[in-house]
Amino acid sequence: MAEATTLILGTLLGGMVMRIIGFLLMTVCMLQAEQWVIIGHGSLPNTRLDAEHVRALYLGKKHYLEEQRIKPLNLKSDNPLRQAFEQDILDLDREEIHAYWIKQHYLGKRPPKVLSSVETLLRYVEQVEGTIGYVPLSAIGKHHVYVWYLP
Amino acid sequence: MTKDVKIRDRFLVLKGEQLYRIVLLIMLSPLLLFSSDYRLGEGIQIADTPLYAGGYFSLNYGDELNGSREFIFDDIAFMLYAQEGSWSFMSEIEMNDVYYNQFELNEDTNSSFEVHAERIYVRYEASDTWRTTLGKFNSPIGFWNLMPINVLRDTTSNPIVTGTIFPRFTTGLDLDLTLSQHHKLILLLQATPDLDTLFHSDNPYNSFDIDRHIALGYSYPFKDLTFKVNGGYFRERDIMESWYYGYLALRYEHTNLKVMGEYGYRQNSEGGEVINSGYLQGVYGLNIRHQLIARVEHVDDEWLNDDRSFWLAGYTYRPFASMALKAEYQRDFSAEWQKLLLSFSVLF
Repeated sequence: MAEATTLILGTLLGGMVMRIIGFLLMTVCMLQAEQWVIIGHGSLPNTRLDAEHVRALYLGKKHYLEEQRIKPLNLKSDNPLRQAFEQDILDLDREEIHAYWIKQHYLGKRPPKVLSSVETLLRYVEQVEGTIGYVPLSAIGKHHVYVWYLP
Repeated sequence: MTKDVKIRDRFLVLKGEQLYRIVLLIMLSPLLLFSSDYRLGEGIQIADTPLYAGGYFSLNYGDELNGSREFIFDDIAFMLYAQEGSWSFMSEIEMNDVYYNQFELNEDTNSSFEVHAERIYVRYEASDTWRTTLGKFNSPIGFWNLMPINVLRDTTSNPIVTGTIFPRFTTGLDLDLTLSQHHKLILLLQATPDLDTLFHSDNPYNSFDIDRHIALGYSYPFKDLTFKVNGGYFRERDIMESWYYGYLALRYEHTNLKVMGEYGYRQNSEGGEVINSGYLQGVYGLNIRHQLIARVEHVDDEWLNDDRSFWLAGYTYRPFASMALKAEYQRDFSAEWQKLLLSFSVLF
């Protein structure tokens, strides 16, 4: 009986500890996610953007910078960095963004392409002309990309 | 068995088959939900091509309370579109009034599986300054006509002005010019019959059967407010009657509140018949799922001898952004006429 109680308590406590660790990790990720920047392919015009222009590009309201057609990239919807970006720049929550793109679907427009990780996004932006994306400043490292916007 | 009975039996079998097809269509569309990468209302990519497919449907129930009741499978449409660089393509085919059943006073049942070309166009955006569209598209006039399908619009019913002043669709050229952040110009040109006449020469899918349409538009967006003015000319194909029209539209959006008004005026080229109509509508979002709507409308149509004002109160529930359950109550200000409308619509 005592062994069973210990096992149950151990399991419950273990679960709680895991949750606390998970919560702390998420908080750390959220804090890190706030230090993001917009990067772009090296061939893009050497111009700093304002937040309004970034918003217009990510909502498909604008497509160009000077003569260059821009292809914005997203991270997966559960990525804390994406959540920070959407909160800071788009000023819309998940449901509002979903509702927005549903209307655009009727108009024949698609949301930005989604990539699975920051590393994939960095490599994609490095290689594909006209692409932009958001990454943590610290992740840029030796990647040949251009920092376009610093919040 | 008499010939009449045979015909009646055959009709009943056909009716059964048609109903079966309708039910099947409704049942199949939500199955897309179970496709791994699919979210309802966002369309589905066709293999690894730039092509996307989607569509929408709407079921309506209308009750004039002291008159007749009707059930309409209003429309089912399929879209196929693509975007690659500066070029994009959109095609939409629609079956309209697929099934119609009127009860009581005038018992009537109709079904139609005619397929119409609603939108087919190619678009080229060379920059953020100008955009060219060629084909058949929603006439970019006012606000309502740009987002006209039941699931996306505010109410099941359309304000009268949106279907009586200008042709809802234009087949030809649309040139959009953005002069600056606050000034946009639109030029529309049509010099052929509607594209849908290729499939239905007598009954093209449009509010007017036209072969000429020339229009200019100006739009002024400023913060939460957007103002639009349009003016144009069109000619009805069969009767060769020409019309001039003017159209004003205003929209204010701030947090949960949206106020929208549109007013249109149409007069034939001989200066005779005049039609003018307008509405003012407020939409208040209790949250993203629940909306309350109030609208007043007026129409003065010399041709139909229709001069009346009425109001509408409505409620919309969206369990998902791509699905709408709507209820609205319309009533004439003279209280001679009233109607309850319910609808269920989905974008997939």
